[in-house]
Amino acid sequence: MENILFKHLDIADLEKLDVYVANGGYAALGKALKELAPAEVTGLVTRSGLRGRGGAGFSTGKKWSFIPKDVDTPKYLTCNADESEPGTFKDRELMVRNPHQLLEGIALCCYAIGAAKSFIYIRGEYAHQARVMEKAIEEAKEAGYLGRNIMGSDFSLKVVVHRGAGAYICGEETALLDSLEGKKGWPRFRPPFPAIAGLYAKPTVINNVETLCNVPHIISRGPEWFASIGTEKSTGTKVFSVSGHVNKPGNYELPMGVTARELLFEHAGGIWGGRRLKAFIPGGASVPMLTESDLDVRLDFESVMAAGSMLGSGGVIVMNEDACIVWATLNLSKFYNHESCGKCAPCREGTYFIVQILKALEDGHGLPGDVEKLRDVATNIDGRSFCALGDAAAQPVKSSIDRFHEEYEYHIAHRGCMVGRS
Amino acid sequence: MIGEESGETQVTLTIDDRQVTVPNGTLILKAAEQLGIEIPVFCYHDKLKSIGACRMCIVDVEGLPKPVPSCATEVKEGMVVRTRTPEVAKMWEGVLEFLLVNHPLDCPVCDRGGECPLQDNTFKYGPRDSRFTGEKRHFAKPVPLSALVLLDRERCIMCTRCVRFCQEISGDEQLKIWDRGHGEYIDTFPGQTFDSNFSGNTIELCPVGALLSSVFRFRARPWEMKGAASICPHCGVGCNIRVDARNNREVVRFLSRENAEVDDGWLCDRGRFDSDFPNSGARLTKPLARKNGELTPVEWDEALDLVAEGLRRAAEAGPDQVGGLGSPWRTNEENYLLQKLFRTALGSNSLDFTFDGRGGGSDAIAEAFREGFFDGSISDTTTANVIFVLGSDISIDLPVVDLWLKKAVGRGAKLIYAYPTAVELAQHSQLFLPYAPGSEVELIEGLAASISAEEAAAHTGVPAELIAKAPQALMDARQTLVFVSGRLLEDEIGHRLLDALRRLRRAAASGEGQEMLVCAVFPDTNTQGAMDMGLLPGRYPGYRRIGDELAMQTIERTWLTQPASAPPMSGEQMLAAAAEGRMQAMYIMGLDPVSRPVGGEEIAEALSKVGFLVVADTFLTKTAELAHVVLPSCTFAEKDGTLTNTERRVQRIRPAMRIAGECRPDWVILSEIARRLGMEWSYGKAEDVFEEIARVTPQYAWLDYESIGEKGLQWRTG
Ligand SMILES: Cc1cc2nc3c(=O)[nH]c(=O)nc-3n(C[C@H](O)[C@H](O)[C@H](O)COP(=O)(O)O)c2cc1C
Ligand code: SF4
Ligand code: SF4
Ligand code: FES
Repeated sequence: MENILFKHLDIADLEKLDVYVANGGYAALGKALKELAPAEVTGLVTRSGLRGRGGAGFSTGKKWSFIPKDVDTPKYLTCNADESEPGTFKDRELMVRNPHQLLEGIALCCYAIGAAKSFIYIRGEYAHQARVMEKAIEEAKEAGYLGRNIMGSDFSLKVVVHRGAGAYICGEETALLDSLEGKKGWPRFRPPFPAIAGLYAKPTVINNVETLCNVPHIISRGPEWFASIGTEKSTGTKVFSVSGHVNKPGNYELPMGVTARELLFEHAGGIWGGRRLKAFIPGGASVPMLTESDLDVRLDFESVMAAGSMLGSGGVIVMNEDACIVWATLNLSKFYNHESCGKCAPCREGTYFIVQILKALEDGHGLPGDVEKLRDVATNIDGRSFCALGDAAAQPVKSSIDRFHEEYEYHIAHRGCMVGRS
Repeated sequence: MIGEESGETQVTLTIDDRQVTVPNGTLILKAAEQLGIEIPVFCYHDKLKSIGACRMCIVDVEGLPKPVPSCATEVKEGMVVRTRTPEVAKMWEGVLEFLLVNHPLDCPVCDRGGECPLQDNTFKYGPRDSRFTGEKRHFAKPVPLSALVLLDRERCIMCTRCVRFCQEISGDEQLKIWDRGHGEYIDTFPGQTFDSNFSGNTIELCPVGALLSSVFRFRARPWEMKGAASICPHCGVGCNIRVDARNNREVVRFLSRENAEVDDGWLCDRGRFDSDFPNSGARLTKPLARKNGELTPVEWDEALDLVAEGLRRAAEAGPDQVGGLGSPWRTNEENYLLQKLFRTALGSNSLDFTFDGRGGGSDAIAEAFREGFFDGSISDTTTANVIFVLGSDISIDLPVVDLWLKKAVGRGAKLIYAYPTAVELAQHSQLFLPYAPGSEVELIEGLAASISAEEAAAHTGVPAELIAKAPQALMDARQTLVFVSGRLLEDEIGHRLLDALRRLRRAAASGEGQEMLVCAVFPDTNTQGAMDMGLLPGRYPGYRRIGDELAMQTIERTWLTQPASAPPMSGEQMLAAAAEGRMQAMYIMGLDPVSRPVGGEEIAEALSKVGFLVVADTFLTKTAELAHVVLPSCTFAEKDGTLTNTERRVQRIRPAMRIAGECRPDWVILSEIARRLGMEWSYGKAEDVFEEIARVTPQYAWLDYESIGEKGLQWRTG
């Protein structure tokens, strides 16, 4: 399979502007500015079937089309480079190894929606990545791919890199907007949706890094080409970040719909230590766990959903048979408890409650009934919280209990771990 | 414009199988309320913007994948809402369980215990047992945010009402949320105290016992308290309060008793926290009479006989030798009876409520009241396009009006602030005019464009380009509201100022449908009422001129005696006469001029030369220490009566606790004196006095206790 977003694997120094341009870079932008009206760009993206890679899988073209046209007000694109989902590390490779691909995608989107200013909200820990992006912006500006009258057209664009301060919630698009405005990162109530009142209450598109990286290719090679990759409803490729108990952890760009088995065994080198697979989380930490029996599930939005989980960010976390599920769930739950923004009671207090129960189980103080209580507490968060972080926190708990109930019960009965690691 | 609202579309929806039709944009919560369906809330508050954060109020809506917060979700045509299903019950139980996870449940020692929404909602909708067995988070308890407000962070449920109050209502951004998740807490900025004129409102907004009043903490259980519907005694706004007294013995707190036209549901800190004075051990509780140079406790009969005799003797020497001083801190009934006593039994018109000089302005202001010149109300801030403040630091003079002005600015009204220095509200204004004191008339002439901006600038020191901005704004405004300092009106420039305001009104209300409303600013509680009752020199009740034939006839019909027509002395003149040893007797009620920061010594000197000085007050003030007889009065918390606020609204106070010691309300004291002077007064209750006030005071003619009711009524002319 041809590398599309990951061309840097084939071409050395692709992060350099001249190399990028020599390999067809900024041609899509040139074409759009010369030949396409903004609405036509949006139309092509819609026809390509591209869906958001940040987790929710919403149609990108449709999202852009919600931005009001013919209104005389500033509009913004915010590129979500917060990448804080556990097990997800694709955006940083995309930014460091091919920054101009992202900038070209940003420019195309801004042209399509009529934005003259775009922000890249990048997670605070990505200091190096932020520097790379800033340098690329400077180069592109100097070469006329950003800034005033881009490539001789009427279109001007300023791109600003903004570093976050270390909060998972700031990847949630509305919390991101508040944070970008200088406020505490708390998600906003919707409606109004960002497309109507987003950054500084102006129409705003928020797109993930990987989502935007797809755009230049769609414009260059056409929506039909793009739609021919992947499945009918999940088009194009996906960069899967594979981590945990595999022999070759890393990022793999593969067509949507590849099976988990192919991803883990053919590309990621199989399960680590020659052990059996116990569980894998297909979409970052925030989606239900799957097990060995799900290995033939195709990794596209619909198929993973049908299997009872979600494709999410495409970060695949793998656990082999030596992993203790109770410990792993405690580990994940501690993350959500630590990252809960505190705006709503179910998530703020519920994640605290969950951690307390799991700690007791892990420490051998669990009591009969604790597993039912734990699942009920997670149920009381799921769907009731203000934003999706709360829902996410419930998923590892509910799915691990549903799939590994006996491991939990073992912890209570034997005050220790079934896999003998305690 | 009229009729626009009626174009509002209606939406019909179903809640718990019952249909309801409400205006488009109504929240599900409010639509349910109309059907009498209760939905528990925590973060939601009628006065704050919905944030849908706590999730207490979530309900099921048919066709939606997830439950929605009813406090933040608007109704839609045909919506089907369910609030009483087992699923919703489980969700509510779940949210309450979560809120209790980290709650200390120290209800037995919590001020809120017994009147706590968290207790009540848990009782109604919460889990029956506690499943949480882990360690709760801990904070130091309680931390003082200021001398007045304490915060128990363990009890806080992070509804953020307090934070949003500081953001949306007071605008002072004092409280913020720090940290995040289960570790987050409310605090001021590092190293700062909760420095606000309105901090106490957050205590009332707090749905748990997290924010606490240092004045009220540990003072009472709710079931020991009874509340009286009363009026805050601390300024001319007259915010409506509930005075809570414990076991009928001591006032323990003031709570807001929302009046949508006066206070919008808020109190300022000066008002709210100064609630302890009726309980003071330093109160006068028994009459005192000077014996061998010492003030000595005596029985009421003895004291009253002495007072009656002393006043009678002095009056015999001549009506220009006796005078009375009423008070902006006494009720209308009491000020009324004081002047009646002097105008009947003592034949004197020398009455006032201050020793301050007025430079002749009192006549102008009296005429202005008579003609109905003042017609602006506090609640006009909700409709005015331009609000012009002249010469008053509203944040201090009428604190709660500060919030009304900020609210007006928030909805887009233009605030023009004219004041010599850059006070806080000036910073919220669109146009700030810092003029040289004394140049108010020229400033207004400039705004009315009756003199050129340059000329006005030369007089006032305000840059001409600033002055030049005002006329257009006034011209464009459909409604202009002016708050003008009462002090300026009473000053010597009063006449000219009123004339200038009349010209401004002609300019600002020249167009079709335009109007300019004017409200005088009187910072003290009942200045307006004291003037209305006839304590303004030279005026009978209702601003009728002394000696005016018609006025005297009307009053005589009610009083059954002619009111005195002797030439009046103002407070200033009485003081001068006293200093020269020409005052035979003075009666001072509820006023302590000797304690003034400036000029007190001269006043003491003058008063010590008064032949017979009577002081009726609640404390042994410096003024009372000079008296021959001191009479212990009741505070506002021990009596009935009315007060008239700065916008001419007559409001009722009611007794909240039993009378301290042997104190008596001033209206009772005055009646007793009058009886001893041969007057046939027969007032059984304060209301009887008010009925008489309504008969002799044209502006009050249409008022009685019943119609004044809980919310008060403004007086009117003609
Ligand atoms: C708690 C939380 C964290 C999120 N973090 C990220 C993130 O780090 N990066 C990202 O692109 N999207 C993240 N999202 C998803 C965004 O809210 C949003 O859906 C996405 O940026 C939209 O872009 P897309 O349409 O291109 O996927 C997060 C969502 C939630 C609820
Ligand atoms: S679910 Fe609630 S507490 Fe959790 S991150 Fe979202 S808004 Fe914050
Ligand atoms: S202190 Fe009270 S009002 Fe403020 S957030 Fe906490 S519970 Fe709410
Ligand atoms: S009351 Fe509705 S979410 Fe808090």
